Amino acid sequence: MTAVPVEVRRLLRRVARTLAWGQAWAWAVRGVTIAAAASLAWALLGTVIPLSLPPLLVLAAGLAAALPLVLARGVLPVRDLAPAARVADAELRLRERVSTALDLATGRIPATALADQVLRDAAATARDALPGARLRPAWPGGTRRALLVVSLAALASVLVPGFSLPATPARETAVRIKREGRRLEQVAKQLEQLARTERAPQARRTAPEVRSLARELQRERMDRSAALARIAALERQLEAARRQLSQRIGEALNPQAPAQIPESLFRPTTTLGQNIRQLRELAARLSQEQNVEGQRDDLLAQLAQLSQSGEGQLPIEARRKLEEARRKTEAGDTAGGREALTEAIQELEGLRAVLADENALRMTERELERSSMRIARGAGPESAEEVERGETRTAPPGPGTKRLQEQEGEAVGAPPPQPGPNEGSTPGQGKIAEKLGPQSPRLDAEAQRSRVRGQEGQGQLQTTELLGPGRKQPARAPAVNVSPLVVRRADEHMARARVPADLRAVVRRYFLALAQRR
Amino acid sequence: MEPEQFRQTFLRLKAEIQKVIVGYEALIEEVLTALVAGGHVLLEGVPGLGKTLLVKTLAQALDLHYSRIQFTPDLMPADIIGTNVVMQDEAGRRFFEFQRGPIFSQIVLADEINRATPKTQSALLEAMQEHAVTAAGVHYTLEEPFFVLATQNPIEMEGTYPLPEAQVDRFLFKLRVLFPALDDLVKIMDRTTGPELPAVERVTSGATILAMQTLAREVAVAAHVKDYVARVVRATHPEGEGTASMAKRFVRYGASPRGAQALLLAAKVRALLAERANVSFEDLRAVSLPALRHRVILNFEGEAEGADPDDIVRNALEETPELTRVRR
Repeated sequence: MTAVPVEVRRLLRRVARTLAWGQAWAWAVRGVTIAAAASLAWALLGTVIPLSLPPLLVLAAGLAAALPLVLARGVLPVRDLAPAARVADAELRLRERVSTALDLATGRIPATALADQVLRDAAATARDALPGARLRPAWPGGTRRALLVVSLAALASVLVPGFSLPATPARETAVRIKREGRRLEQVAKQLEQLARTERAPQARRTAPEVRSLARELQRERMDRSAALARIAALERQLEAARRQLSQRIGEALNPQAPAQIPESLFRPTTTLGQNIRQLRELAARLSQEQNVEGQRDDLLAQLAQLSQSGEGQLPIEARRKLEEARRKTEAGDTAGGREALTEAIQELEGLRAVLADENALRMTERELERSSMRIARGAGPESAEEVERGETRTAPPGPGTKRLQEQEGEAVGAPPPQPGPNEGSTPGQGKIAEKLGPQSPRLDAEAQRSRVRGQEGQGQLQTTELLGPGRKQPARAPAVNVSPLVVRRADEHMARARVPADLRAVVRRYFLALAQRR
Repeated sequence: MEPEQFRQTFLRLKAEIQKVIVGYEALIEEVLTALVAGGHVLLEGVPGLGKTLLVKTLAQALDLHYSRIQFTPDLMPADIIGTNVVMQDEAGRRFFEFQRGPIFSQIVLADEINRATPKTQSALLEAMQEHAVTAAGVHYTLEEPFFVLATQNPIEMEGTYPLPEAQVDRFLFKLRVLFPALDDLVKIMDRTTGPELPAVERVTSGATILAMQTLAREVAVAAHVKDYVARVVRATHPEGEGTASMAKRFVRYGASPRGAQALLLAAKVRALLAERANVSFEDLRAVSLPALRHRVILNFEGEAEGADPDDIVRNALEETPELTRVRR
């Protein structure tokens, strides 16, 4: 084996590099063709089956996968110079001198008596050829086909998404997306309502965005991937806003450890509301009972208790004001005490607005997540599993339920909705374990047991606050108007549902007992 | 011998022959190529084109033993090879002695070879392939260089015997002697009807020709060039991978492995003449027609359609890519 002459090696390296890039280019064309064809097929498949990935993403993924291979082909060193030698001979018209010399030098062909002359000849030829050794740019085969397929894929990615063939899962998903759009429009209304009642600024800002999303979802030719992407974008936005609110709440309650927020505060109608009402009552008493010594002591004791017990649950500034009010009242400065108390109330009301915002955002996020899951799952009613997971617990059933169902096209001729989590169960045998423990203290009131139909989360949200101990007062949510409907629904359900024969009598007795309570 | 000496000798030889033979430059070059490659030549042409004169001139220029055999239907193999004759010595004892036939020469002109019977034609087989003859169980080696030039008349079919395929395959080249051009015809008349005929000088010897044959075999051939030769030969076959379209239609049997050998050897000689020590595709293309045309056996359709083997070989060359494994 002889060494390849330097000139020959230099020429071959140059040609090999050109060849490598030419092949890389050919690979790129092939990769683009394959990716575009896959994207095209994906877009067409999307008219039949709902797909979560847009065709352009498939194209991008294909290209991203092909790119490293193409670059590697162009950049990595070329070990076998024989192909380059053959191409150099053919393109530079070297009459097979270089390839024969390379074959002799590498031992691919046996050496002959003229081997040295072949090598010398090749070296001289390569030396002459080197200055102008530029290969013609090769246009890889299949480029026209690649252009055609890419054009078709681009056209399809614009025209096809959102289009679905009738009576296919894709069409059912399109219907589902529109339905979710209508549902989210209701959520936007709830947000607006909440913003008005709770004076929640963030909820007021969020409502138009949710409404805008809802309208987009109701647009013609909105495909699943686009819908999911749009919902996800809004979810991210809301989550960021909610985190900021949580941070603010945490800082107001405990600047040292802002992350620790008591869970009770997320129910603004309970602890915080009670505190505000209590403070208002104290402020009223302070202005009315300033001359009664005995009652003032009681007031001071309540103020002290509030400021101490509110640690970690009330803003630090509010507790400071409460303490100031207690001190001023104790010192006889009733007016100063009332003023400090009013400031504490303002602090708490500010916190309540932020909490309302935070709750509104949480609720909206849950609704968006629910829509996202339904769209991702495709067509069909929610499963019992979904109900058990509590995915539909955000909004309690209310007067708007039936109207919403009618809007969704399910009321007329459609099967009745799935039963609720405890609907139709035997009293005292519910699924929740903690209910089976000792009975908790009851209010001294006539309980009116009732069942409501439908799913949680459907209909408009109705929040009813029960003020005070509520002794000897009738429940504010009477079930008398609901029971006949429940009984009728129960009868219908029993006629259709698979109730074991030996239990039909038990079920019948249960609903008759409900009817007798009317 | 050096390549340059090879080239000079070849050119001198060619020039010497051209003193007598007017025109036919390519033909002379191809005959000399076959001689240096160590093969034999079948010349095909109508009578009176100077085939015999060409061979005779070549023999004179080389200073080799020359014999001419006029093939006729009654020619017997013994007339070519020789025969044992009864001799008598001085004591009156009789014995057999082998009388060498005209094949025992270095340049043999087998004139109108297709006029003899196949049996007689076949007498040449061993001599052409082995450079030896066997008579009455005795093996005789022929003197090197041994070069057979046969001529045949393509027009006269009456009373002729087409050469068997095995015989044809042993010729390195089959050359077609065409009618000379008008200018050449005038020159021929001038040169041959004058008072003096041009004298041919001895340019080289048999030993030099042998050295040239040895050097030609030293020419290097790249692996992919050999691969190309194999693919071209394969393309002349009617079946199999890489078959050319015309071969598929008109050919009964394609070129034999001897065709590949002939192609490569002739290309090596041509490479040396082109001042190269390696074979190029161009060399192969240049010698492909004379080396392969007589090895392509037409089928009935080919005969009926009058297909030309030259076209079939050209088609095989066109449809066989030189570079197969490199894509740009």
